[in-house]
Parts: sequence; structure tokens; C-alpha cells
Amino acid sequence: MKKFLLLLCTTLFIFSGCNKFDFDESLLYGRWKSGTLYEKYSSSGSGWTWDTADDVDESEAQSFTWTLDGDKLTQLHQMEASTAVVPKQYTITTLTETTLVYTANGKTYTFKKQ
Amino acid sequence: MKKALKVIGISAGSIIGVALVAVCIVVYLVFTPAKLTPIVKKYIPEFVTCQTQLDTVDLTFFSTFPHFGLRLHNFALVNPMEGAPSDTVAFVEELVATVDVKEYLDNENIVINGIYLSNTQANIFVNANSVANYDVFVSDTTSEEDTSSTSLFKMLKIEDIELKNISASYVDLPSKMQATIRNINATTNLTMENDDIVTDLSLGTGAVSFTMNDSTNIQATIDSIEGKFNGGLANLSNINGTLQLFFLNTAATMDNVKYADSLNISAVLPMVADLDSMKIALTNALIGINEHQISLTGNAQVGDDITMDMNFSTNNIILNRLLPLIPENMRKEYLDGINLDGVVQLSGNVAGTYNDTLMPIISADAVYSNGEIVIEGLGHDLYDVSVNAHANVDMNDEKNSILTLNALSAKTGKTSVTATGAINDLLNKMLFDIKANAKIYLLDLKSDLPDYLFASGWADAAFTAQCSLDDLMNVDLQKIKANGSVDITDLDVIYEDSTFVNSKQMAVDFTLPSKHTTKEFKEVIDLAIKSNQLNVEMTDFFKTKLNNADLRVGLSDVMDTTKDMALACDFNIANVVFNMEADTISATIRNPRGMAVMYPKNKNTGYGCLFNCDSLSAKVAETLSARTGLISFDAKAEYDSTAADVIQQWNPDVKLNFNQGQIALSAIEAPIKVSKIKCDFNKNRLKIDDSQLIVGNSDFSLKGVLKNIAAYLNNEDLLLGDFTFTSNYTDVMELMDLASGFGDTTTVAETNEIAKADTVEEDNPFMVPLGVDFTLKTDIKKALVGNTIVEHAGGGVTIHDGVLVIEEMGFTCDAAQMQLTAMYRSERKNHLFAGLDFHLIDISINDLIDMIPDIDTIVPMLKAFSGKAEFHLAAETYLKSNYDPKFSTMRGAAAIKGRDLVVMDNETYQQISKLLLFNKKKTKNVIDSLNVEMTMFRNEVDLYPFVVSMDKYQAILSGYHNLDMTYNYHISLTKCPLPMRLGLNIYGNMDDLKFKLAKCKYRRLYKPKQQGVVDEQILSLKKIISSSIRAGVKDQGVLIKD
Repeated sequence: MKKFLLLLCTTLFIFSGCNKFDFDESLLYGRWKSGTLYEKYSSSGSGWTWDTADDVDESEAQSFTWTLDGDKLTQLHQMEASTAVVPKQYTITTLTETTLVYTANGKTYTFKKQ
Repeated sequence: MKKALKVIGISAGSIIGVALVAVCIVVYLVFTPAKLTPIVKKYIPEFVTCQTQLDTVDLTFFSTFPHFGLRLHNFALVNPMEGAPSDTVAFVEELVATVDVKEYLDNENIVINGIYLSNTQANIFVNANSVANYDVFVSDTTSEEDTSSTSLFKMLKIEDIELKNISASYVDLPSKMQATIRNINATTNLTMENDDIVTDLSLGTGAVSFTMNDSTNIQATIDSIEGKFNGGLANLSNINGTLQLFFLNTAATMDNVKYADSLNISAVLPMVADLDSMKIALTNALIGINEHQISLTGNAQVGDDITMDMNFSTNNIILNRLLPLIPENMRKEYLDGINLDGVVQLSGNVAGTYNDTLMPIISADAVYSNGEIVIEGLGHDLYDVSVNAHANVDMNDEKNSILTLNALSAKTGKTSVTATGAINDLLNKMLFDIKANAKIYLLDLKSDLPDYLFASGWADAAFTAQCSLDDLMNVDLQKIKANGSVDITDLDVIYEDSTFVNSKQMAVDFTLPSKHTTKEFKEVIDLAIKSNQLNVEMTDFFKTKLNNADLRVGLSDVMDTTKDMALACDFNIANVVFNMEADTISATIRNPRGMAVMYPKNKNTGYGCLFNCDSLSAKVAETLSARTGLISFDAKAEYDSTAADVIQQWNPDVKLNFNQGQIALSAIEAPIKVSKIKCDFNKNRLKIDDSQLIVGNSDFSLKGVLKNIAAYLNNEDLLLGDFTFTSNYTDVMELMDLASGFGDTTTVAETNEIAKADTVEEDNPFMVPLGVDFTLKTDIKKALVGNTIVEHAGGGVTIHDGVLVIEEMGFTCDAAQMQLTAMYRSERKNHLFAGLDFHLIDISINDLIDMIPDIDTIVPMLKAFSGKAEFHLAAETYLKSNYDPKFSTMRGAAAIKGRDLVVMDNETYQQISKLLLFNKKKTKNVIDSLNVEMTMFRNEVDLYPFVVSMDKYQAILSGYHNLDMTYNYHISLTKCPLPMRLGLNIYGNMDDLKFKLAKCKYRRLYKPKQQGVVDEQILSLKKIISSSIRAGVKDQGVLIKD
């Protein structure tokens, strides 16, 4: 019994330690809007972002590449004036056909599909 | 003449014969008319073939005492012809002849003491078959008698002939001529001895008329004719006497054109003539038309040729009296619109032979005085015209004809002209060789100038000219030879009421054709212009003053309409003062000199200018002022109006060299000093061979080439530039201000519809030139960038179509070795991109913070360390027009790698030490190594976990903070003497930092065997950041090895 409980606890621990939610990547494809902030994800792994509050429209959007690993959405922003790459990682909490919610640094961003 | 004498002889012989018969009858038969008349009538048919009528013949004695005379009454010749105006050919009312019979009987001399013929009418008629009604004399017998008549008498003497009231009419149908003469009265004495005739003839007539209606319609009338001849005819051929004729009120028309009207024609002809040789000699003969007379002295002979040697001389002919006598049609043809007056006197000689091939030579002197010439449309009424000329006219060899102008003078208005010279080849080419002087009052030329041009002043001209009439009429400047000088005083010229030229004194020398040569074209006109002061002003545009101007202008053939005019000008001017647009632009040029040329080239216009001056001073309102030392440039251009843009239209080729320039721009506080500039420029490139400038705080030498100028202006290609910028000291920001905005035409309002206009309209950010591709290789010993002095800055600066890139520029400063790559792109005024890739190797962290104070915002904990490290920073963002960052576009990454750093013992450190139970007394605050990676995204800075090993302690720091300087950091104490692993959260802001113990977050991060997926991802991202940012370092060898 003790062994069973130990195995059960170990299994629960393992599963709880590997608490990972997988989202359907294809749901991410498309243009998302959060206030004046826009993000656009394509199936090729490219993405774009712009904020009209800063007088930037889609034609002037900045590009990035992205990957979705479980609930970790990682954006890699290649800088223009440098070889440097700026990574930005978010944790997705909701991804539906109409809603994208992710968090980072204690902030939550909610997007609606456009 | 012989025929006339023959007719006279036959007529006289017939009369004498009749008279002799009558006398004989008187003498031998009867003396009464009843007896004499039948006798005469009986013999008349022996002399005439037509019907005759004779009333009576009687013998006179008392009326003709002391001689007997024979008198015929009412003698008529009647020869009716169809169409004739009268059947009577001739009717003599009374004919009395007195003959000295004794003299004939004694000496065989016929002496007619008198012939009196009165009230006689002759009606001459020639019918359509050319049969004349006067052809009634017995010719055969006349011929025989004619041959024997010479033997009838030794001498014929007619002492007194009187004709009274003789009239005649003449009708010639074949010739369609009609003529009448009325009331002929004549007296003469005639003595004929041995073929010598001496006579004294006086003749007067009434009206004379003549009409011919052939192909040419001629009508002439004379009111009366008076004539006298006093002289003799020797050997029936030599005339020696004086003939006087006077035609009163002569009129003549031909084809309804009046050639003479109310003319009184006179002639007094003292002559010696030989009828056999048809030679005549005149002495002081006078021929007059009204009051105009010509005197003739000389001789002439008419044969197969006409030869003459005749002097002539006119009286003073008043033109306004003579010219009306010229037929109206001729006046209209040759003198229409011309009004001449004055006095002309001609004298000369005509000598030589006239025939089909030869013409006599005319030599004449003409004096014209008190002349007035008014030519309609000329605009100048000439007065005080006088001409003294001599002409030699040789029509056999026209080249020998010459008119010598001894003197000519004329005035118009206040202008006067004098001239001398000659016209050679007078009858053909008319080669002028003239020397003239003129004092011209320019206002007198007003009618010659177009309405839009006004000129006043005086021109004192002296010139010589050689040319032909054709050259002159055609204004063939290539064949006209002329030179002279014009002294102009008080010149005032106004062009279209907007351009004013004036000069107190100006001298112009001209030479035609020019003796100068210009390689670009053939100079035809040469002008040398000197003026103490020449002012030129265009209203509302510019005014300029040229002092001591010395110009030489060469012109091409300006009359050649097949080519555009060419001009070359050598100039040497003491100084030029130029003002433009109400003194907003002004310039003073000292001693400009050189040469300018404009000429047709291919189908375009070529220009050239070789310019030198000692100095130039210019000012453009308050925005620019410039002063230079020597300037020289050699410029060429070819203007093609069909080309697309200005640069291609002009196709310039300019070589410029000037030095000691100083330029002040209102936009720059300090002036621009140009030690020297040497460059050349054409439509494709600008090549700066050498330049030394001081612009504001910066000194530099700029060399290089600018290409694709024409293509750039034509929007076909980028403007390419490749320059080397060498400087001892450069104020980078100040120079950037100079170049700001070149090529940009947008405004904030146009490009920033979303932004509030009132906040951005005044912004004027630096706009990188568009359409250009510049490469600038820099070698700057010391540069001021912001507040930082950098040294030995060498690298490249490129500007490519709106993008400015400072590419891998290496330099050193007190703090470190540096490498900077920066990019600035001005897509539009409210969307400016700025990015940099900055590497500091072996830099003191304190110096780094001093150099880049903003680094403290990004990496606030950096000031907790001291020592040397390598620092890599990449950051970029878009900016608003006021340079405020658009945080949504902000990206950045930084990596700091250091060894043997000291942790500063400040308040924060003390707080951390306290909470993490550091034994400060025993713990050295030196850390072995530091590898920090952080990113900036939008307004957040993420600090990726990094290890700090200090003595017995090891901590991992991570967290993030916002650009509003609120923090959220965590420190995991992963190694310490204590058995527990503590964590510490630090949050809040710098003024109110909060510290709270927390769970150790990264206890497994640097333990590979214990790492989880998240740990791997964190390290992977750190690796991405570190390797990608450090890859930009040009010299990888200087980096700290991992």
C-alpha cells in the first residue's frame, strides 16, 4: 500500500511537475487585436506586430518569427541595425478561434481575432 | 538733209522757172495779167501732174522797185484722194518773186531780190496705201533739170524771203499720224554761191500739234515755236552758225502718261557742223527747260558710230522746281515718298564712242547744297545736306566707274554726319570706301528703335567702311569691312520699362571683320567696350554696377539666319556690385576677369566661361553671407532645351578652384570657412579633388566623387557618392543638422494623419536624403558625439535612399575600445527609425554609465558593479517627429560579460546582504565572472537569469522592470554556507524598493542534471541573445572567451 501510495504520489508529482497545456497552433494564424495593439501570425512561422496608437499601420509592422511549444509562445525579433535577436516569451492561457490570451511578467494580454 | 535740200532746190527751181517764164513773157510778149496768166498756166503742167488753179499772174515793178517782180494770185494744187481731209494739196494766196534778170543775163547769177509768200495752206496726206497727195511733181524732168540746174547759174542769191501766215496739216494713215502747224511766219536772207550758202533765218509759228495713234498713243502740243539760224552752209555740207529754238508751253503724253506739261524748251546752239561727216561742234550751247539750263561745249560725230567729246555744265538747279517736271509715273516709281529740295549743279564731260558695244565715258562733278531730304517712313528729315562729288562713268569697263565723294554732310534733329570716300565699280558692284564722322543724339534714333526700347545720350562716332552695295543691302557682315570708334556720353537705355542701363561715359571700338579668333566659332564683329561706370538695373529683380569695365565682345555673323548667334566676351572689370530683389541678395566682386563664350554647338547652344576674381563678398538676406579670396573656374555647358531636366538641358562641365572663403549661414551659429576647394562638375559627376573646410566646430577635408547626378535629377537612379572625410575635430550633431532634410518634401501633417497636428507641425526632424547612395569613409581624430568625445574614429558612413548607416565604425575613447554601427532611417517625419549596435570592449563600468547615462535605465543594477567588462548593446526603435520613442516598436538586447568585478557596497547591497545573511566581514565582494543578457521589448526590460559568484556565495539574479522604473527582480541564493537555499524578491521603484524573502527560484538552473524544460529554454534564450549580439563585433579576438 505504501508502495502504491508512493507510486501514486510520484505519478501525481510527475504530472503536476509537467503541467503543460498544448494549444492548436493553427488557431493562432491570423490577425489579432488588443486595443490598439495588433499581432499577426502566419503558418510559415512569421509574424508581425504594430500599434496604431504610435501611428504605425500594418504596412509598417515589425516582423518576427514565432514558435509555439505547448503554452509557450516564443517570438524572436531580429533587429535591423544589429545581428542581435530579441526573444520574447509568453505563456498562452487561452487560444480559441476568436480569443488569444497570454501572459508575461505578470501582465495579461487579451486579443481578439480580426 | 540732202533730201530736204533737194526738195527745196526742186521747189525753188520750179518757182524760179515759172517766174522766168513769166518774166520772159512779160518781156517778150505781154505784161498784162490777161496775157501773162494763160502763159503761166500753159507751162504749169510741165512741172506738176495734178490739177492746178491759178487766178492771175502779173508783173510788178513799183512794189518791188527797182526790180520787176512776178506775182501769182490764188495758186492751188488740187489732187483729190479718198480719205484726204481736203482735195487741195497746197493753196497759195499770194506769191511774189523779184528776180534780177540783168544779173542773170550778164553774169549767169540768179539773184532773187525777194520772195513773198503769204496766206498759204498745205494739206499733206498719205493714204492707206502709202500714196501721198503731194506726189504731183514731174520727177523725170526734175531729175534732168536737177542735174543741169547747177549749170543754170553761177550764184543763187535770195536777198529777202518772207513767209507769212503759212499753215500746214499732215495726215499719214499708215503711220496713223496727224500733225498741224499754224501761222508760220518766217524771214530769211539766203545767198548761195558755189555750193556755199549764207543765211539769216528767223522763224515763228503758231500752235503745233502732233498725234500718233499707233501701238503707242502719242500726243504733243506746242503753243508756239520760235527759231533763228544765223550762219552758213559751205559746200552744202559745212554748217557754221547759231541755231536758236524756243518751244513755248510744250506738252506731251504717251499712252495717256504725261511726260511734259507747260514746258518752255529753249536751245541756243552755236555750232559748226559737217553734214557729210555728220560732225557737229558746239560752243557754249545752251539747252533749257524752263529755268533749268545745261551748257554744252564740244563736238559730236554721227556715223556708224557716234563719237563725242562734250563738256556740259548746268546752272544751279533748284530741285523743288525741277522734280515736278519729271513725269508723274517716273516720280511715283523712283521718288514716291521722297521729298527732295536743294540746289544741284552739275558739270562734266562726255567723251568717247557710242555704238552697239561702246559707250562714251562720262566725267562729272556734282555739287548739292542746302539740301533737304524727307523720306517717308525713314523717320529722319535730313537738312543742311550738302554733297560734293565727282563721278567717272565708264560703261565699257564698269569697274573703272567711280564716284568720289569729296564731302558729304547732313543733319537730322540734333544729329550731324559728315563723310568722304569713294564708290568704285559704280555701275556694277558699287564698292563703297567711306570714311565718316557722326555726332549722334540718340533720341533722334527713336523712330529706328522698337517701341520697347528707349535710348538717350550722345554718341560721337568715327568710322571707315568698305563694302559693296549688295553687301550693304544684304547686311553681309562677312564681306563688309568697317572699323571705328564711338564715344558715348550720358547713355540712358530703357528696355521694356523694366531694364535700365546707364553710363556717363563709354567708349566702343568696333572692327568688322574681327581680327580675333575664337576656337568655338568664327568671329565677325569685334567690339571693345570701355566704361568708367556702367549700371544695369531690372525693376524688382536686380541692379548691378560695373566700375572700370573693359570688355571685348566678339560676335558671329548676327545676320546669318541659318545659325544661332555666337558671342565671346573677354572681360576685365575693376569691381562689380550686384544687388538683387530689394537688396536681399547682394554681391561685390573685385576684379572679375576672364572670358565667356556662347555659340551654337551641334543643334544646341554651347557656353563657356573662364572666370577669375580677386575676391567675392555676397549676402543673401540674413540667411547667408560669404566672402572668398581668389576664385577661378572654367565652366562649359551645352544647352539643349529639349532635354528632360535642368542639368541635362545645360550639360555643365565646371572646374572650380577657390580659397579663403568664409560663409555664414543663419542656421549655423559659427561661419563656414573654406580654406580651399578644388573640384570639377559635369552632368554625371561632381569630383572634389581637394577641399579644406571649417564648418562650425568641425574642420574637415572632403574628397571624392558624386555620380549619377543627371539620372538622379531625372528620377532614374540613385545619386551615388563616394567621399573621404578627414577631420581633426568633428561635431557630428552639428554636421547632421546641416544635411537634414535634403531631398525630403514631405511634411508632418501629410504623413501623420493620426498624430495631432498641433503637436507635430513644428517638428523638423533630421530627414536622411532620399534617392542618394553615399559612402563616406571617415578618418576623424577627435569627434564630439552628443557629450562624448571619441578619438580615431574610422569607418564608413553610408546614406542609401533615406537610410543613414554608420557602419562598424571603430574608435577609442578614454573609457574603452568601441565599435558602433548605427542606422537612422527617416521613412516619414513621424516615423523615424533609429538603431544602434554598440560594442564596448574592456570598458570601465563607471565610464560606461558616464558615457551612456541611459544605460542605467535599462540595466539599473549595473551601477552595483565596478571594474572592467565588455558591453554589447543593440537597440532600435521608431521615433516620433519630436524624437520621442514609439515604445511599441522598441527592441533591444544587451550583454555584459565581465570578470573580477567588485560589487559596490551601497545601500541596496547592504540590504541584500542583510536579508541573505551575508557575512560581510568575511565575504569579499569580488565576483569571478558576470554574464548578463537582457532584452528590451516595448516598455519592458527582461533580465535573464545570470550567476553572480562571490566568495562562498553564489546567486542567480533575474527579473524585469518597466521603463517607468518599476522593478520586479528576484535573487536566488544557490550557494552559501547556510544549509538552506533562500530567495529574495526585490520590487517597487528606486525610491521605495521592497525586499521580500521568497522561494529560491533557480536552484537547478545551472545544474545540468537537474534542469527542467523551462531552465533549458531560459539558457537557450540567453545563448541566442549573447551569441547573436556578440556576433556583430568585428574583431572577435578581443572578446572575453566563454
